[in-house]
Amino acid sequence: MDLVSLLTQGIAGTFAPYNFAVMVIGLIVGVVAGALPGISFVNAMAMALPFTYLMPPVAAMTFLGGIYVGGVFGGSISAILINIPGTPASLPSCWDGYPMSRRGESGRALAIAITASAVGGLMSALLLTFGAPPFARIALTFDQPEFFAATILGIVSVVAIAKEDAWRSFLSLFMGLAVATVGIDPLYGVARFSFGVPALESGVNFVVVMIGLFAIGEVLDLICQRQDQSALGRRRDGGRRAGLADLWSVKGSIARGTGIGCMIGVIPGAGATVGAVIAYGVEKQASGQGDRFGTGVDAGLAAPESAKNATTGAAMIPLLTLGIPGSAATAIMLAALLIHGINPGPLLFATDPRLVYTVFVSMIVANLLMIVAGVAVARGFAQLMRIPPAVLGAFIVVLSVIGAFGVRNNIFDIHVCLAFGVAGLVMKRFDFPSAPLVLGVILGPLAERYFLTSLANHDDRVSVFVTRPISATILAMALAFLAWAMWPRMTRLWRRAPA
Amino acid sequence: MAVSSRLVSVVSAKALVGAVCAGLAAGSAMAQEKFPSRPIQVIATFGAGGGADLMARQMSRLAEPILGVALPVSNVAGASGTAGLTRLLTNSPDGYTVATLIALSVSAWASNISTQKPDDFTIVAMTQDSPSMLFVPTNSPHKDIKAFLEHAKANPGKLKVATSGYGTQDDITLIYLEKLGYKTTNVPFARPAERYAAPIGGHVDAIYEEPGDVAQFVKAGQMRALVTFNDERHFAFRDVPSSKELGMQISDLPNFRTLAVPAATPADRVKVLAAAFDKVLDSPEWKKYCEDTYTCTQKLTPEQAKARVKAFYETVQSYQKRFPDMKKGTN
Amino acid sequence: MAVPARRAAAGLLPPLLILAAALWLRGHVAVDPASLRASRGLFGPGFWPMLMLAGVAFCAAGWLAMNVVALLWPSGRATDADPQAPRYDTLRAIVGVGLALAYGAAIPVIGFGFATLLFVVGWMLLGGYRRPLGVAAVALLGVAGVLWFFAGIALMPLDLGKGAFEGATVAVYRLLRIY
Repeated sequence: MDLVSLLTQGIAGTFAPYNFAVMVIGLIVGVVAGALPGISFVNAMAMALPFTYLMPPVAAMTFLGGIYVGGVFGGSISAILINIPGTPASLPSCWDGYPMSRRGESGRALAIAITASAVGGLMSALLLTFGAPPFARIALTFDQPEFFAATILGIVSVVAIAKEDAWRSFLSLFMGLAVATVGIDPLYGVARFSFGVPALESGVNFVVVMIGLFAIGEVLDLICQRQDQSALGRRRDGGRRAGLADLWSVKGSIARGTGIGCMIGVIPGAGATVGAVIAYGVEKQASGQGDRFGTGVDAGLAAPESAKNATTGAAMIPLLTLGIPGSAATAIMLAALLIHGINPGPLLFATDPRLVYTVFVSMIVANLLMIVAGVAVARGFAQLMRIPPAVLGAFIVVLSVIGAFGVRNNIFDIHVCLAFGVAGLVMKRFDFPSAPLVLGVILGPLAERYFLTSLANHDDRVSVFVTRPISATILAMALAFLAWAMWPRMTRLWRRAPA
Repeated sequence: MAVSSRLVSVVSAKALVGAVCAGLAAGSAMAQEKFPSRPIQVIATFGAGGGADLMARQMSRLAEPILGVALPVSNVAGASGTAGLTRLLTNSPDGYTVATLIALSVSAWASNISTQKPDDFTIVAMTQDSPSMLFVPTNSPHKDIKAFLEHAKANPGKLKVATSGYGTQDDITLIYLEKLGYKTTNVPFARPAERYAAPIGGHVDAIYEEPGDVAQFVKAGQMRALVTFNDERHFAFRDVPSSKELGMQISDLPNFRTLAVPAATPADRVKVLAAAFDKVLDSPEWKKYCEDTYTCTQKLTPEQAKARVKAFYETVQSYQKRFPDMKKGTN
Repeated sequence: MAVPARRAAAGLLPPLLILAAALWLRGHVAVDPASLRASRGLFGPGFWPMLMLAGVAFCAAGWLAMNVVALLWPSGRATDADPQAPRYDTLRAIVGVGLALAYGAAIPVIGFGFATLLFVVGWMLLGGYRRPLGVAAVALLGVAGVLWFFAGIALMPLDLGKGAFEGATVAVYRLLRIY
């Protein structure tokens, strides 16, 4: 069958009333769940999974795809409006999005975020539709050393987040990396830092840490501030709207973010959060206005926004072409398919092309409709800001606890989350950077696993990382990035040093 | 507005107080109530999309009409499945919580992960069972198991086999082969998805896995089977030799999956659950599912199932005594 | 020269504590240190955690050194009081933290529903929202809504509580038509 007839089938499948309806419902559910602090799109997809039993497989996929696309964006609404990332992937959107809101430009920030997310997601969906098989073949040639190198690139992007004090940022990063080693190790099955407590053997999940530090920490911080003038979202949107010129001026950032997102998306385990953080780091260097990042720069918001949504389509490439889910979200999609007795993989393109192309087309359409859903939910969310901060704060904590629990339905995770909430309060109070810690908890398990499996597969030769061309290139990029970002600091230090 | 919200608050406050009183009374009267009268929580002890998760979801879906209540599945992943089993044991042993208990978790106990043991549980259903097999990518130069083993003998440690980790059944099998003179290198991939991608991408020479988990790759012509580690040949791979035919004694490490409740659960409730799951195992939908995943097994009574689990636990322990250096990842 | 003791403590204590913690943890990676020894060369289960702890120790030492330098040779730029910093109410902070931690501890014992109800009421009172009927209405309706959605629709296995609380939670769930 040629591509045109396949696409026609896909379009017909997407706009079949039932499929289309569940996709729109999924989008709205996703954006709302994403925007609620604590509830991430992975939570929402896991909760939605039982409902897909009742649907035909195609509808199950468009439904979950809608939640995925909407949820990855939705987190940015709360990130921009109240400085609490609704999902981990929206963490970098706080850094330049919230300062814009503080200036009274929340409408403008949301417009940039929605546009960038939609463009990133759309490009990624197009890549999925037209480039999936070749892209999957390239992805298969990547082995563990390459994944390790890419993870190092992500870790190095911390220097971009670091404001002045690189020591503390790297300390925070290493603390996160150390926290991530708690629990049973991935290869040997040995419990580490468990102190004999069985609950600690399950380890510390990064979503739980993120919710604790940024949602609960923020609410705790708020309640101990005496004057309430900086209360959650109490500022009026004073006005500057985003014009087309504004959006056009960040096209370079969106393009860079999209490219990074598509690459990161196919790496197993990395996902939207890593893509967004790396894109922020790269953008800080590449945009030429890095010193103003963190004060509400358009480019600093657009790049991570486009990157995180650009991971959505890309992450589905290995799922659909190889039957290999790279992330928690795609694993849930895999479960939905397997429940219906459908095995994704190369065979699926031959046995059920209608399903495959309906998923492709519905991902494209979902990214376009996301603009509408995003605007609508953002409006409603802004209304929520009128609720007294004490009431809002209480329910943010409740939702955070539910979200932390929902990651693994583990009661211990609630305690970990609340403990990190207290840690977040302390860190904020002492002006200790917390974002690198989250990044460490996210990337630590990946780095360790890739590192050890690489060595097991290559006779314990550490040189494997520099003798394989692709991994060597990525590591060189990481090194160059580090030097590039540290250079101004080094020179400043040099000049300041007593002669 | 104010009036109505006031009204609602008064009404709901009264209702809540009433409900609490009723509940406290009901708590003591629980023993007499009909079982099951509320949803039964099913804990999948591994993440979504895996074998244990799918088994739990299929079983609960098919058991709902039989038991007449919902059986929501929740994933409690972590610590080789023991985190979810801990959750099972800390919930009330009233039959309203059921968890998946699979061979991997039992071998984790034998490796001193968690303090759980077979006697903590009652097995309400032995749902799936499958031997493990060795697969190679389709374009592998090794035609059959003989060629593979000969290559391993001539080039000790050169062949790389993707497994789920050190100290697992996978590792035991590879060490067993090593003791026979066929030394390969164990390359642990903690994530199943990465493990399956490794042979397809040509990064390892073979993969040790149960057939159901890689069925899609076999059907798609990306992998082929070399050997079944069992006494008999696999019903779906008639032309693939069994390990016993090759003179190996490594048939005692099957991958079984069960549904379990805490050992303290009342016997009459165990009976209700076991009868319901038995019915599911007889249903045509389940038969199709287990055939598709190559995991059909004989039905067992709770006592027989418990004996199986115990025997497996002891087998793994005895292998660990036999291969004391296993945990250290020597091979 | 006189270095104010408070500033010295604030600059030196956090990195020192982190450094000490990292060094102490090096001996406590596993309950049984023997389980960390891999004969597969260096790369056993303890390799990566040790490396990360070394990173923590190194960065903490670097931070400490920076702070020592800053204390001994003040650049003059550093000012202690930031007039724009929001004023913190330490008592409220302690009560807030206590309330949050108590909430977490209470969930497995009295069940998610009752713990949440108590927490929401407590938090609103702490945060200055004290109209009795408003508090009651928001708490009851809010918690009922949360339960109805997450336990009823999303089927999350939220804790029911132990003993009598389990029966009470089940009764509330029946009332809300969750069960």
